[in-house]
Amino acid sequence: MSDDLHNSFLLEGPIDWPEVDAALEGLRLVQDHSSAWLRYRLLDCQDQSLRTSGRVLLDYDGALLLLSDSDAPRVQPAAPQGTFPADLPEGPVRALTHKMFPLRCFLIFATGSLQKVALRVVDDETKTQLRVECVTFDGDGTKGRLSLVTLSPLRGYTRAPQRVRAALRGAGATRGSAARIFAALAPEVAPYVSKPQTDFRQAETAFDVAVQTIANYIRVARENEAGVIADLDSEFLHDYRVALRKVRSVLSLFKDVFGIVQTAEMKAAFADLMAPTGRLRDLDVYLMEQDDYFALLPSSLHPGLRLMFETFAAERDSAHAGLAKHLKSRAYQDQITALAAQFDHPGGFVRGEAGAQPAAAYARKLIWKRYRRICKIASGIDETTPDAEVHALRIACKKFRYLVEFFAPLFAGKSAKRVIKRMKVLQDNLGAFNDYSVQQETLLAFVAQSPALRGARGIEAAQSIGALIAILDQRQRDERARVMENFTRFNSAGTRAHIHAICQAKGAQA
Amino acid sequence: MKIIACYSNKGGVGKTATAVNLAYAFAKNGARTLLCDLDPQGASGFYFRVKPSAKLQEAQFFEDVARFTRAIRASDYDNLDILPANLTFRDFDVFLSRMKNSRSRLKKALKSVKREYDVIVLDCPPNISALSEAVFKAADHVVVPVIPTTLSERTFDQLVAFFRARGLKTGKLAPFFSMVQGRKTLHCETMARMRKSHKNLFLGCEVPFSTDVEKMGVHREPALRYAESRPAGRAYLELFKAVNARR
Ligand SMILES: Nc1ncnc2c1ncn2[C@@H]1O[C@H](COP(=O)(O)OP(=O)(O)OP(=O)(O)O)[C@@H](O)[C@H]1O
Ligand SMILES: [Mg+2]
Repeated sequence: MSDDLHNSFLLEGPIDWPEVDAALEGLRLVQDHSSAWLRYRLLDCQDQSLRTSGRVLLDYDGALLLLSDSDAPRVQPAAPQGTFPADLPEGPVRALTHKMFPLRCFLIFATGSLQKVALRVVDDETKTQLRVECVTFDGDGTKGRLSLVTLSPLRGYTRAPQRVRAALRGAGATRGSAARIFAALAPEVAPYVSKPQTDFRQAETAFDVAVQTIANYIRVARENEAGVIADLDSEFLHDYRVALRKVRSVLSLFKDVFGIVQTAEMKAAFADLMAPTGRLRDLDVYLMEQDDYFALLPSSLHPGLRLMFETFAAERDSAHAGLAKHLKSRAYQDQITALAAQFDHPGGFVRGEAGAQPAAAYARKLIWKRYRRICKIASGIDETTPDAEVHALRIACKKFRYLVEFFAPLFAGKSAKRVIKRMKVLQDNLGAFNDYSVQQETLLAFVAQSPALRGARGIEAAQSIGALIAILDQRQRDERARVMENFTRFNSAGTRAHIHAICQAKGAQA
Repeated sequence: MKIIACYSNKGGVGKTATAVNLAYAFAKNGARTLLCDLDPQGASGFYFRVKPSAKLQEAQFFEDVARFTRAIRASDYDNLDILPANLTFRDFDVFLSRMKNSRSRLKKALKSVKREYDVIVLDCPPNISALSEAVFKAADHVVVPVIPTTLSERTFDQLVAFFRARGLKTGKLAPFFSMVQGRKTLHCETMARMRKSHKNLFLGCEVPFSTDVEKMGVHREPALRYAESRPAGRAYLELFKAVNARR
């Protein structure tokens, strides 16, 4: 009954209202008012989280209009300035987007002009039986116009909506949906895929899988370059790095798929691509967690902390400028283009011994091997083991998860997804353990090296950082204390059964 | 949820005009409102251009919750729905006698739509009968338009006596003076006398005799739509505020 997009219709071109009116039999259509042509912008974040969740966000006339496949439309004032959900004034769109993507900025996916017309279907006594709103979009880049008609049925009146629906269908209109509106307004914009799935119909051997997976992730990395350069939000760099990390993990996990020398060369090439990004990401993380840090320390220690963050902020500016320059440079562009070309046309690779193995059998073997490795490391961990072993477990888990992810489409049902899900708590635990340890190291390095830490302010900052390190150390130990418990919970009979199902399926070890 | 009955044991005193404007005022104030046209003549439905429902032909419509809710129609205004009268159900007394055996049925039927509405306004036909008694029981407030004439004075006294005789709470009664002609000394004297004899019972507002109200039949809209700032419109707003303020 409500006005979600199920009551809306899309038509390429204008609606012939006299024709709709003629089909109403005893009822008639009256037009109440029509707006001027207004400029609109179609908004979403880089991940297209709104599009993926069945929503469309339009910014026009100083307001944000959120249409949804499953909810009534939401309206709220637009942001006077700023591009993040947090920059929006309080309202339903802010609440939703801030929850969905607090770190991402809004991007403009399409622009144009729109006009709104309000109509009603009335009976012979001019009683309203149906409200109709028609929005006509005239996109800047698109050729024809697009009409979006939304019916708001009134309680007790079913005939009018039935007839209008039939008339609209007769005119060629089809059910509206967020996906279709987005596609019509921004026809050039492909849906964003952050975890491209390998198409195993095209990838029969281990070699094929490796090549396709790497090619996909190079593409993801490249899609994020512009956002890093323009410094739109921190997640462009994050996604860029994750994509490259996945490329590198394919190179190291898929043993003997490529020739030994070539593997080494590529590993080095991708390591080189990642190297200049690390510092900026670290600084981003610190600056994002600024509030948490302040919350950890009593306010008497805040001035010292402030000095540290000022230094970080300044360093971040120059780190970003440096990275942007690098990404725009001829040398970088040439290199990544060449790498991408190499994987798009894999004929030139030397194949390693394992390259010709059937993908599925190879996957099972690898996943099983990685799983055994996790179990082996975990079995050696108790309260006395050095932290290095816990780090080793973290890395092994991560590699295992990447492998399961890469090959997920190969396995029947949802077993791959289930395994990944069961690992989440353990991985979050290990991730936090690692973060606390890295943070301590960085803080120590900052105290040891930063030229900012001089004079009275410097001593104050060193004291604050000392207190912070003590807290982080305690937290790291808390995380560590939970690792074994989380591992045992992960490695339950259920999980083992899933992994068995994946690895020992019929025809495995062929 | 509040149930407000517009009732009088006398005909033509402005019950329908009151129900229509009260319901509209509640809806405009943001309350989800249902106006039930209990008068077989269907006058309040007429003012909202809502046609009488063909679906209410059977006598036991209040017993059939599904049919009851299906008959509801949206008005042209936000938050305001109408349950139109059933014109074909002429023999109202048959309906009333059925109600007699199960007095709480009406209340039950109203309860069945409880979750959807904040306010239910009943436009009642002029009777003291089984239905009226059911209405009195169901209603939280019984708004009674009283034309300040000697005859009305007597009928109102009868209503109060009826409430007392049946053990109904007279506190539910919310009488106000309707169709008041300030120039008539008779009106003024009657109002003064009645306010005194029924102390604190009468609401403060007085709806004047006005062509703006009569014109509702021409506009087929509540007077508050087109005469909000004129004396009659202002009086209906006062009436709304007074009723809305009651617990
Ligand atoms: N304040 C008023 N000033 C002038 N005319 C009025 C006023 N209130 C109502 N009327 C007119 O008086 C007539 C009767 O009013 P209304 O239908 O509201 O009374 P009612 O009590 O519902 O009547 P019934 O008993 O027939 O249901 C209508 O024509 C209406 O336009
Ligand atoms: Mg009436």
